Amino acid sequence: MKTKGIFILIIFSIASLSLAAQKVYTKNGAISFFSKASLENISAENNQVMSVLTLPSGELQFSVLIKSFHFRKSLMEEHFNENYMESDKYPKATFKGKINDPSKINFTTDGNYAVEVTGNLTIHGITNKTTAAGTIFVKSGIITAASKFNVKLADYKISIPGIVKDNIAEVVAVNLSCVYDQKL
Amino acid sequence: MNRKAKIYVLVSILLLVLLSTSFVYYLFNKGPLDVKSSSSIKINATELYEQFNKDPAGALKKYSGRVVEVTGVVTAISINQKKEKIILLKTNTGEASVNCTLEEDPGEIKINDATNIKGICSGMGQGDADLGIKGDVYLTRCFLLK
Repeated sequence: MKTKGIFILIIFSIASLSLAAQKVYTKNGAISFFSKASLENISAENNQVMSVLTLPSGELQFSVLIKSFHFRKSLMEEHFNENYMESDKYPKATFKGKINDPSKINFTTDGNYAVEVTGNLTIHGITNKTTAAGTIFVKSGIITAASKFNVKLADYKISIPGIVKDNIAEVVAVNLSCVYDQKL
Repeated sequence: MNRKAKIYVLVSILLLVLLSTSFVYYLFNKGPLDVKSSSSIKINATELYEQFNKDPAGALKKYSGRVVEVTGVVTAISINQKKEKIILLKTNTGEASVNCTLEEDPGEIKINDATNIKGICSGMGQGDADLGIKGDVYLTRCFLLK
């Protein structure tokens, strides 16, 4: 009986510990973008997003290596890295912010929660304060964050040369999804 | 210029135009780099990570965007959202790994296997100071060599 009591006590203390500030993270989240233009659509994928989510405060951080984006055509990839993103000079894009109203999310109960995230987005060495809508999914103890947002290239001083201007949209649609399968 | 010479000139010009157009078309539509047949820089995972850790700028210049062939010991195997396998290779820095996303299913592979992976190095990712973890060095479009 006594050992059972101790066992229950241990379980409860572990449970209460897990309610305190905790961080979940992934080093292999997914991000992709899509640019619709007259001549041809341009899209690229990157499955190496580093992201950390702090619970229950809802602080959120993303970091993406530009060279992890891959395209269907090698010339697109080359232009993306060398001319537009200058990835040798600016190897990463980052976001550091917070879920606006984290108290409405129960991170321990299964469910989908519509959220708004505000923070600083840095692309091409330029930082802008930005807000994006997203969803937090909680399923069997695993948290997933997903968001679709638009990036206006001019806001990040990504200039498109006149000759290909018609072929690249001024606003690019970004799709992000991170499964936080790691805990610390 | 006689008639025959004129035809020769015309045909040559046409051929030249055709060749240059097809070359531009080829360049424009060329698919992604063929990692398998590309020449590569050979290095082991621990050494690659150390280079990024000690001299990030130098290592970025040397390896980022290049095809590398990395030998190392498998510490974890997982699957990303695209159902591609991710293999982590051991480094001398705690939680950090050489993080390889595979383009083809590698078949049988398990933790603690010594392996040899070829892929494109993207650079070193960001760590988290509060978590006390360093960023991984990333390889994309990888193939297992053995």
